[in-house]
Amino acid sequence: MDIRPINCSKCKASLPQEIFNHPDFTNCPSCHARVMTKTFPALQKDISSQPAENIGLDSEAGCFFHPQKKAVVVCATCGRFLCSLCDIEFDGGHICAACLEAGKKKKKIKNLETHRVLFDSIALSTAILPLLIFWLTIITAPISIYLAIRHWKTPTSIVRRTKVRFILAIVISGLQLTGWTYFFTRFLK
Amino acid sequence: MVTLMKEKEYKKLPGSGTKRGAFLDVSRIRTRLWLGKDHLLYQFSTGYTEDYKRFYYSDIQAIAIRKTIRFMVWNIILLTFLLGSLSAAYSYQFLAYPSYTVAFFSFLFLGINLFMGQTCICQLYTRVSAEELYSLKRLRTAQKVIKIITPLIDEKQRDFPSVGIIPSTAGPERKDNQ
Repeated sequence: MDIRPINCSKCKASLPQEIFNHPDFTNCPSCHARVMTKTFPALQKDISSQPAENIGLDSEAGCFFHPQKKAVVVCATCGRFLCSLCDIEFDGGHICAACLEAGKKKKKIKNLETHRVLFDSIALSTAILPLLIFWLTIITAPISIYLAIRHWKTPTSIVRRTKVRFILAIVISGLQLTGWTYFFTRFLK
Repeated sequence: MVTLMKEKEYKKLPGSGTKRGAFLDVSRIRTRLWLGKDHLLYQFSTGYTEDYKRFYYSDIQAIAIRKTIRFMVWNIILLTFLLGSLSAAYSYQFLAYPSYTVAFFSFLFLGINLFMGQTCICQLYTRVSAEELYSLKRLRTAQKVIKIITPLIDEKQRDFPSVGIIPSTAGPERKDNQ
């Protein structure tokens, strides 16, 4: 069985299998860089797909997408019968391609999300950075407060993150607005 | 004791690094690895946006590390700065303060570089990709992370048939910092 080649990151030459899982660093046969490769059983796993079975008996259920193919599993989201071709194993369950696509578009499946905007960091930066040119804060302070309130419930980073940036943005912008109010009431009468 | 805190979905793994753009590109993307229940989360952060790549433990085929000379190059550069600035401080009185400042920072960065240890490039292989892990630029950190994730990958791939082409990973403990 052919396995995927593991290349040296320096010369891009394929590393020989004899040096895989060697306890020490060994020389790349091509460029003599010191390399160490740890492999896992997935490297040798044969994933050639099983052909979907045709329906033999009239009583057998057919796939929703391929009616002539035998259904082997039910989609956990929409309940459609699926053959082995349409079955997608995901997050420990089975779903169809349509539900996977819908989940990705509507951001219902967290494990499919690949991008997030950090509105808490944007709000905090909008509150802090304009302090360098102080008069700008009269415009940016309300924007910062708006961003913090508008996106309070918008999910931020997938990895752990607290609301502290939003709170700081509101507090700092609030202080700036208080300062401006004091300035206008006191000195511009 | 009953804990009211929700169990964290991801645990931070050691190491963080930057992915640099082109030569004149000033943007720096910070990267970090997070340990999930069934996958590794590779986080790319600009500070205002985050992008993610997931590597499921059942899909990881190999991890390759290559030692680089960056550690030695920086040691030579910093040592040159240190010795050069010290000799300048002794030779020219008027250069004493700036030279001692340069010497201090050279010594500081040299110490940090020596403490952090050897540098490396780490790549993670799946069936369809070979991803460079920018957060694992130090050998010690890379080996620490591999030590953490190996049991999780082995657990997920326990039932995979092995055709015995490649020597087994079982055996004596790996030597660190060769």
